Amino acid sequence: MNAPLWVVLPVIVLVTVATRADVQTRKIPNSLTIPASLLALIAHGVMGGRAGLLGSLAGLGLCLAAMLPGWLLRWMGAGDVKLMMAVGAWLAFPQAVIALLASFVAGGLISAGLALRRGLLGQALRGAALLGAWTLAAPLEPAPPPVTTGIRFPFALAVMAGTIFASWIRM
Amino acid sequence: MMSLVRNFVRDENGEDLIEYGLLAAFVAAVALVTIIADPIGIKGSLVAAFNKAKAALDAS
Repeated sequence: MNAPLWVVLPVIVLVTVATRADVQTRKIPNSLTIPASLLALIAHGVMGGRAGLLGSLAGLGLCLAAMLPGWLLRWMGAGDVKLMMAVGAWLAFPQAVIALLASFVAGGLISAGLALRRGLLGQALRGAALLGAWTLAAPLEPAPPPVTTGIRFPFALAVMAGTIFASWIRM
Repeated sequence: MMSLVRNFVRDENGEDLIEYGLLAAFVAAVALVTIIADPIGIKGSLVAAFNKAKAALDAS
């Protein structure tokens, strides 16, 4: 295990509670994510001083910066963004970067599984490629975003997988 | 800008579009392998940039 126990325990509790809420209601309450972020900043400040607080802020900020575009484009809920910010604040830099990337990878696996189960994997992969092309071309040639399947999934599941991965991997 | 922040704070939605999930996973998988295997020293650059920022803050 790479992260200390005082980080791993709260972050695992956080993602477990968030995943349960997300699977049941498709919402991640602010009453969970906002206090969790604040508590992480305080804990890192107390345990690691100025450097600890800076690492925690960097983790939170990087997760926000990476996920905000997805929310602005309405491809992702803000509950997911705030959950990832809280996880980033708890794991701090550089572990937060691994959690973020691993969560995205887990999200892709869940998406592929869901699409496969509905017999729409080819359509979803084509849609993903079109979204990518649209994102790259949008600044040069504004156009409406491509049509998607409209299927959505609870991203907290992916955050839980990414968080566990990042908590255990040695860098 | 303020209404955007207000919307962000109020929104508790926890759902992602599967096409976005697939696209983000592809980008993240490439980045993750690049950071973990670190063939071109990205991990070192990231850590160095963080340490530089920390040192600048400590000095201020």
